[in-house]
Amino acid sequence: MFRRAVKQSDRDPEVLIDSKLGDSAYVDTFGLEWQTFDGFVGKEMMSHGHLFGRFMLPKDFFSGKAVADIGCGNGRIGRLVAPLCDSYVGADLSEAVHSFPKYTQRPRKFSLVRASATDLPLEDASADATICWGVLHHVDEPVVAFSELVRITRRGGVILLYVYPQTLDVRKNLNAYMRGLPLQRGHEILEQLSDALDVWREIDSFFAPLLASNLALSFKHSKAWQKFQWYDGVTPRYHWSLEKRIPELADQSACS
Amino acid sequence: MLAVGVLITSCCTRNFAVIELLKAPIRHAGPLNGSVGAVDLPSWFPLQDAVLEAAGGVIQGKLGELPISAHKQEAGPQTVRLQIDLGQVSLPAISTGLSLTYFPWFRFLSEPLNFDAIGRVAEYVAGSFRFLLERNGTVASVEGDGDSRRVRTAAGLEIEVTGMAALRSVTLASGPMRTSIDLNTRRIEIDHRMFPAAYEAGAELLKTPDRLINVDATIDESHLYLAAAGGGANV
Repeated sequence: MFRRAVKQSDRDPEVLIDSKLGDSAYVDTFGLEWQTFDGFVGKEMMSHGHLFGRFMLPKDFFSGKAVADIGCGNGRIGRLVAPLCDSYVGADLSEAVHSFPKYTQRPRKFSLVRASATDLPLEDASADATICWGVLHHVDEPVVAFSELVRITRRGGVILLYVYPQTLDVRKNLNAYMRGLPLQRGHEILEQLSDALDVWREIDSFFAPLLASNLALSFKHSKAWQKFQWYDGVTPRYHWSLEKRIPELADQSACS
Repeated sequence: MLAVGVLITSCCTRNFAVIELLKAPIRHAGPLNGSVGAVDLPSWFPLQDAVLEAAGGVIQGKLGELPISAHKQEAGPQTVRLQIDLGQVSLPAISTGLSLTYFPWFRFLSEPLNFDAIGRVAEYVAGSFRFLLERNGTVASVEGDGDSRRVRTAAGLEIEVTGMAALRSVTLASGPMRTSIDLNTRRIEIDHRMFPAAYEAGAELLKTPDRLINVDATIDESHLYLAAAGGGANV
């Protein structure tokens, strides 16, 4: 499965560390977010819909398949897929991978590895299905990462990909404004923003959604989830606009 | 922070509708014949959050919360005609008109009774700020005349609101510190001592080659200045 050495994490023997793991500082915020908030609990149906619903996948789609989940975070998608497939490897550059839940039923083969999406330690053509959900737009070199997805997916296999739609380009200024701030300061700003929007939400059912739409930030039922989602959307260092480029990259890689 | 976020994202799309809505109440009036009134409105007009006023204030409240029936029909490409039946309400004999007014600031102030903002926007918005301060336990007063009103607290915070016909600017001052928002020029000055995170975000950005789209951003030791490029033309 691995093309080079990986070692067990001191923190959790189930988590492996790529021997070539480089600088992961820029994903520290994601690591903290995914370890602080569990984006899955209470959102099972939504997470299910993200993957199965969007692609209209049958329930047994992953049955018998080797699955690679690149940028798996704390397993928001992986915990749905792992119990259904033959083998699962979840890779993430951040420490979020340590929060992949222990309660998730493991398939016959199961691995979690801290590794960069732009230089995966996985062997060529090792996955029947490769998932990369909401990750490429946050990678420093998305084109390189895409070529890695192609490399690890066997010919005739499938890559299930989600990148931010172009409609979220309106966040560009907010993203550029926020990205230099340390984590704590970023949280502080989003707390203020979230609280201010909630005030409008209380008093004007027209203006509050207009404000949220202006900022490309959507209201959530849970305050913690709202801030988490906003933070995830607004603060990362990289925020590429990829929607138009993916079909072009797929063509170049002879993917369909 | 909300103001900064809204300004820079509005600049990105060159759509300043949110800022424009905050400036002044939008009022549409129509005739009342007997107990039935009609008002022509732009199709985007937020009916449920608009305040209906009829019979010289006998009826006054958000349309969505009043126990009256209203029916909407198309009256043009971007216009709707709202017919309102006030038959169930006891109206004075001589009632000739009604109006619908929308202003996002409604409800900050002594809701649901005071929707009197037309021609006295600065006073209304100053009252809203006072209400917000008082709600958080800070005693505040409103004073001033002419085109400006000032909200003052015992701790020395002063919020100056300018523009009685339409909101032009809001300035927060405390001792030597000063942060202001100019809605007409679409410019914000952020004092780092008042909003350190907002200042630092801009400072960090300006250390990099990255720039905000359609925003002129400059900085000095005390303030971050953000303004719509070209004053926000091409809206």
